[in-house]
Amino acid sequence: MKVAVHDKQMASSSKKPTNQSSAAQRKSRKPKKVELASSKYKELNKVLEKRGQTRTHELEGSNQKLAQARDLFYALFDTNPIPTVLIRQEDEVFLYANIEFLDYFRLQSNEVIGHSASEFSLDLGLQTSMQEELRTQLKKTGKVRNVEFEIRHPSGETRIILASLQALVLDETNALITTFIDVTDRVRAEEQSRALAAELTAAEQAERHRLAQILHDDLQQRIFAVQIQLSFLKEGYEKNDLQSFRVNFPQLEEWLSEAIQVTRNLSVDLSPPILHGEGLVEAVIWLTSQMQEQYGLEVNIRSDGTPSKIDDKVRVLAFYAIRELLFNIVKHAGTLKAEVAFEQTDSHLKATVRDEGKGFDSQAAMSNPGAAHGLLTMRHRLNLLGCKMEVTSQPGKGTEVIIEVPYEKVDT
Amino acid sequence: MASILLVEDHPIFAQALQRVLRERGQLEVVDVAESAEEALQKIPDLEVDLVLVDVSLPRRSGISLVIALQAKYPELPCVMLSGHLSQYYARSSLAAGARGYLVKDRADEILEGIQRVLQGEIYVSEVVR
Repeated sequence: MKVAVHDKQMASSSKKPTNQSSAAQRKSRKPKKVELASSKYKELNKVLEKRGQTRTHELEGSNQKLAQARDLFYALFDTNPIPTVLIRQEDEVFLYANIEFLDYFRLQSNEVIGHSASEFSLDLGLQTSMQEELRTQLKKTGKVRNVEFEIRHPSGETRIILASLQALVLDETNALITTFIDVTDRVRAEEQSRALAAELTAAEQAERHRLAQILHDDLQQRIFAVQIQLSFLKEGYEKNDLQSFRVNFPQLEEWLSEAIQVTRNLSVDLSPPILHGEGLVEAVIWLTSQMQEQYGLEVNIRSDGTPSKIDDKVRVLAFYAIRELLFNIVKHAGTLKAEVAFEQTDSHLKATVRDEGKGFDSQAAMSNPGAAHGLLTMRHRLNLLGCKMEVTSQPGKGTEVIIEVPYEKVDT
Repeated sequence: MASILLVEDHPIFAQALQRVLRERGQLEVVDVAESAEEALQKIPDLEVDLVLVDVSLPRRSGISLVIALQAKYPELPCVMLSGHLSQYYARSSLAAGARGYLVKDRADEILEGIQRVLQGEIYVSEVVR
């Protein structure tokens, strides 16, 4: 038992210090634990603070980038040289418009921003079917590229624009950026070019028809007649009886001479030899001699004699224009007297074709393509090569047509 | 001598042809019309055995004239005369009721063709057969 006691004592004595030391340990541990927790907390706090700072920096950076992107967007919007507008999709209210858009529609910014098109009388004049088509395509693809349509401009004029539309989300708003260019002049120029091409084709066909008629109705018939006469000669020769198959040689010669003359005229008509190498004035002098021979038209030519160098294409066109004007005098003026005057200005050679014949109401005729088709086509062709043409005429007071042709001065 | 109405708007060729028909073919051109309208106007007053018609006439074609003549005078033989070496014109002429198609630059064939048509045959110039 002693042992046991001892053991107990031993046990208790051995326990106590043990108990004492663990209490001491506990005593010394408790503040340590707090210290440790505080330092960890501090560390964690530091980490969190750092992370917070990093996130804040990142957020600030993102915000800055976002702000920069927004600034860039509006800067691009403002500096874009073509009319551009931002529209809210749900109610079609204008969110933003650049100066080109405002200028194009003659509007102020406060009249546009925050309003829909219908509010400030910006009626684009789009047909309902067109609007529907645009909406459907936008829904489908989110964009529409290079669509051409007519609008009513505030000037009252119908203009043609080429537009592109792009759907985008801006500040959680479904918006539509629309940009366009006015292509009216280009489209009209294309239309004019097409009309001119059609006119040129028609003129070419008319000329081919005229040539075919000369060949068939004139030249071919004369040659057939000569051939028929020759058949007499052939039969007489084969039968060795030339006396009984009388050939009218003078008539045969006459028909052949006429046929030769037809080919000569045709060749000159197609391309007057004088056009290749001579100046416009010289070519017109030759032309007037032809017109006198063929139609009895007397043309008085005046020229100030200053030499000039005219582009070949322009010279040929001006020559044919003067020829057509002289033909017009023969056909319509009721006179066989005309004058062609050449004068130099600083940059142009001015050719005036004048007659004192019947005349016509040039103001009315020149605004009616049906009445002066030939003259209008001629003027259009001349304009395309940098020339001008002005027609002045009144019933009973003759006609004056001035053609101005650009030229280069030649040193003498 | 058979009598012919010539419908031809080219006076020089008409003049040359009249002489060939008269002097080499024993065929008399009793009148010349320069258009389809003129031919239709003249024909009721003429007694002719045959009408010789140029395919190309001003305003109204020779083929259209043949159709009109055949509708009114189905027994009157019409022969086309042409400068066109075209089977299309030859076929169209026969379809319209013409009894022959002759080419202008073949004087011998013109004479032969007219004689054959007058005998009741149909004659088409060799070059367009």
